[in-house]
Amino acid sequence: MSATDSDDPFTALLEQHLPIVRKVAGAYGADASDRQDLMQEIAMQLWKAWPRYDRTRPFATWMYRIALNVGISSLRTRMRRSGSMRSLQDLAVEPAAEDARRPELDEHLEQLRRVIDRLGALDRALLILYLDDRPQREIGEVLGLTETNVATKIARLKQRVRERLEVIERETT
Amino acid sequence: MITELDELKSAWSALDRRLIRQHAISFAQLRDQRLARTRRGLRPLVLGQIVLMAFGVVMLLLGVATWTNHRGGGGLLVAGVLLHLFGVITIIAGGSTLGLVARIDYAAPVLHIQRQLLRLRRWYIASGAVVGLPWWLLWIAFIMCLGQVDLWASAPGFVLINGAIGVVGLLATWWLHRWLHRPGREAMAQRLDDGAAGRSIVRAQAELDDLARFEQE
Repeated sequence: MSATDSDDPFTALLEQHLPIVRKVAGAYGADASDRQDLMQEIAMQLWKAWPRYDRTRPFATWMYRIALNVGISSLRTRMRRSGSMRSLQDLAVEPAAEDARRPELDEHLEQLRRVIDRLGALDRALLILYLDDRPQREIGEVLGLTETNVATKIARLKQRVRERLEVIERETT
Repeated sequence: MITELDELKSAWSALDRRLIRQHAISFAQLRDQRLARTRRGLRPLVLGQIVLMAFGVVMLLLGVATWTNHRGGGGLLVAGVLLHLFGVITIIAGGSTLGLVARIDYAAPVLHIQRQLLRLRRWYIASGAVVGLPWWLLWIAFIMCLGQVDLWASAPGFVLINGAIGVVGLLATWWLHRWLHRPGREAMAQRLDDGAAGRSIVRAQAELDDLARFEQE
């Protein structure tokens, strides 16, 4: 396949699935500049892996796997260097017009940010896939787990998130 | 207050919109910062053009003062007219460059500002050549006007020899320019153009190139 043949579908698919890249970078990056770097790194790794992509498999699953790997490894590096797992530190911006009528959204986003901050790299990956409503089979494919294992891990994650939300509530009140 | 993981789903779906907005705000801040630096970076160029125009006025006045006092003919009439003409050209060159700087619309898309800056760069290089190259010969007219001495009458050999050197210099400059712009010498030609364009414009272009890259990311 020539470079031109592969360039266009890749770019089109990347643009189509950009929210995945953005949200993974959001969940693993500390701030805007970190997110920007992560998005570039993810796009680069996707581009490198593109020749080996099996076109019969869903693009989103393949993209999640690579994007999450980049996110996980970046968070681990940051943990080693600065001990910080914090994300979305600069999210408190004026809401978009369609969100402005939902005043509770800011509070929910803050809770989400604090939940993400307290999760390790792998739990974050599971959380992202779960919140994105990916089927358990696909979550298993991305994370290299069996469906049963995914179900167990999700149940544990729900329990952990519930406990953390309670802690957050206590801290807030 | 949210108590369950599933309740975070609506916040998660709003996250992308928030991230897009956040990115737009970051870009707007970066844009303001870079454009302010671009504008500030062009100030030395503006100052340089004002000085150039003042120099043009001095040349014009010296030229007019000379040819009006020697209307009867001779070398000083020619030298005065030449200096007068050069003064006018210099004032026009400086004024047009200032006009191009003033016309840069910093509220326009980056690509548009880049085009305006490229036009300014080309104009600046061309006007630099128009104002600079005549000095291979013009210096003779200048010292004639400055000293009010008709060298063509008193030392025609001096004028002829130095005039010939000036013509050779002009031809050599033209040949060097053509030689540098032949294929294979792009890097050297680029360095020469960057030097001729001045640091202000090159720096302003670099700021905008960075901004354009960020915009495309």
